[in-house]
Amino acid sequence: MTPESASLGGRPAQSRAPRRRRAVRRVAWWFLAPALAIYVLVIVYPMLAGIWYAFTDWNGLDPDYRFVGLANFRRLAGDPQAVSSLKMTFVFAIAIALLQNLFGLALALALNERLRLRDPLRLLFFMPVVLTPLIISFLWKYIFSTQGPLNTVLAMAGLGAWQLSWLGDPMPAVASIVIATLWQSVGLAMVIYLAGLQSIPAELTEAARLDGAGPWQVLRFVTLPMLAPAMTVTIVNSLITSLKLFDQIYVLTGGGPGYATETMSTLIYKTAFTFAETGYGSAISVVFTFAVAAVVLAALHVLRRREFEHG
Amino acid sequence: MTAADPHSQARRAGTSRRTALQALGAGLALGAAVWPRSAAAQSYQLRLAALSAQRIPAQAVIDRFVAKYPGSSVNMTAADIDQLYTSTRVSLAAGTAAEVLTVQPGNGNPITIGQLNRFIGDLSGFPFAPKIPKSLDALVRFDGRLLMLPIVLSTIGGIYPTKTFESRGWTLPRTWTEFLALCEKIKASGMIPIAAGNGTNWVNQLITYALLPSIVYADNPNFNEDRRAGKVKFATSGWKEALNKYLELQKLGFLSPNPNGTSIDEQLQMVASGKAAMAIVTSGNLANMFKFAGHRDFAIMPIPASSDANKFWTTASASTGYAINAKAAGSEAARAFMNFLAEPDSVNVFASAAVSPTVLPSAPNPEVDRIFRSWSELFRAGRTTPYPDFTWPNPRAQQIHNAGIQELLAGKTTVDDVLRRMDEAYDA
Repeated sequence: MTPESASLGGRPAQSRAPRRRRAVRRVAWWFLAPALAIYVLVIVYPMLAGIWYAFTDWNGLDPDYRFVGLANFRRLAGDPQAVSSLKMTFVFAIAIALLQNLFGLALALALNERLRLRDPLRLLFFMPVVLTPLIISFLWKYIFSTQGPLNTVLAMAGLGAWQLSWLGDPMPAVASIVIATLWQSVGLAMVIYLAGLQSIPAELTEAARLDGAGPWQVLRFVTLPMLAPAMTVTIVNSLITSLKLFDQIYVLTGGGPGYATETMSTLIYKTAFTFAETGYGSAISVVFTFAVAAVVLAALHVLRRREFEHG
Repeated sequence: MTAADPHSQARRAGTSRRTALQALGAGLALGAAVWPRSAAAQSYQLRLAALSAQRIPAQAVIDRFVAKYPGSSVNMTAADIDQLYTSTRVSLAAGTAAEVLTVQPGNGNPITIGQLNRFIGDLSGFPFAPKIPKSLDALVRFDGRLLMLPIVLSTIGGIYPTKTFESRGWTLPRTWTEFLALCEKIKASGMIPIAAGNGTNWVNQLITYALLPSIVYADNPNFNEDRRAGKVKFATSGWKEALNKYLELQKLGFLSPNPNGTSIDEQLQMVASGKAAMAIVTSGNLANMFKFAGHRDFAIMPIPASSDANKFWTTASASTGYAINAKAAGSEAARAFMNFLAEPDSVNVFASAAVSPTVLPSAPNPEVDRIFRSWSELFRAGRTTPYPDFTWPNPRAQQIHNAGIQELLAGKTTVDDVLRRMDEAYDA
């Protein structure tokens, strides 16, 4: 049907187009409705309910609870456990985000070269990404256990002095969690950086080399600036995942020894479910959600500006 | 109408056929009404949430239950205590909890009958209710309602290999001094005296709880009531001595290295493999010890903590039991299973698999008698007390104690600080 034929009905084509668009939109909403309903039910409603519970003393079980206003938030402000958990959350986030990007980039650079085993190695480094964090954590728990393979290998290699209580002493426990998390997540960063590297035009690096740039200069002045978008993706992704890190900590140390590896995620879990203080746990969640959003938005702002600066 | 009237004969024949058919129909209808009900009464479907440490004994009872009521099915999900805290509460809140639940006495953790009292059914009317000893009322009742069916008693003590002790002439101690001397002998023999598994959160409390009866409850059996009334505090009581003695064991080199990095399975394996001489854990871990060792030559000894043998006390508690989800209180299946669980034969099967003394009457068990001999002496003398945390008002104090022990063993805090935080949590 042409616009001319459409206008034969006595109505101009221009007035029909918006109606058609409206009709299309209406149909689109009908198609969206089931997904939206599910999203509202399983995401929006629990989120709003969580915010509401943050203002109550609900214990997670009894149908009777009281509205307590800002009491939970006032308690949070004076809770040394929450402060130390917040610090530890950022320690993990910074360490994991930094190392994940560093190792991911290094692997991507190495595996972007023409190596004989390039493809199998890419597959090997990416494989842990598809495994469940919980399963990986149990494997690492076995590896790090006092009588486990790591200490056994160290003893066999004559490095008995390096044997540690990997999960039992505060510093090694933190390091163990970072190692277990990195082992799984580095592959993802590697893949994103590889995609970024493969999108850099070969002419750029060739031109730089012809101009006398060495490998380091090519990396610093050509490759890294061109990888800025990939960096934004991996840094933001690793920040979000490491800020809400839970499975690895829960399985490996449970937040211990003492509170040495307690983060906001494990604190929220314990407060809500072990201490049966769901109202207070919800208040911590609300504050933590805003804290994560603020950090991620700030990081995004800085990284985007960097992308812009590098054209 | 005469007998010769063919029509009347035909009518009669039709009537009698109709009557017979009606009778048959009525019979079938009655049968259909009655038969499925009687079949349903003999076939039950239910779910049971169990503690993983009790998976084997619970399964043994379930097998018997299904054999008695063919066509029944009991879907058991078993989880460690930390996971059970979460799953029980979440499923109760969501209305999806199992009909029969695992609960613990008192009010001190998330699955105690005090915490769940509005969500579990009163068992007072059940036939087994009068058989539960009155002495356990404080454990199994809340606000006067019977909320928990206890099957076995539990204690905390040192699980040790009997043959090793016999062959080396090591005798069981009755005072703290004798206990330290025993540890010294064990250490001198090249074995680790005590395997520690503090990497598993709930294990942290066990040595303290093993020491407290002799230090605190021998002098004041009403310590829990006094603590609730605010007459005593943890920080100024025998708790301080108990925690200091815990640390003394570490300082003297009697605990296995890296206790905070060792799980309970590793702890038990150390004893099972002969590396360590004992593991101070709950008696419920005997079955796992047998599994790891491949033999059953173990026993459990109470741990003395006083210099006076007359103050040698230990723990005895119905630490875990079963309850009915209040929503399933009217469920025939749940009622039938609970009644079956309390039958003497079931109690016997459960206790044999759990290697534990029973709460309810059951047949004698020579193996349990052998394993618990030294504990039984104190039990018969009335020198036992339940686990200290069962009357605590909230779960936070227990968790502070567990984390505090890890911090103490790592040298990151002091006994006074842990006890101060416990007092604060208790009084909050």
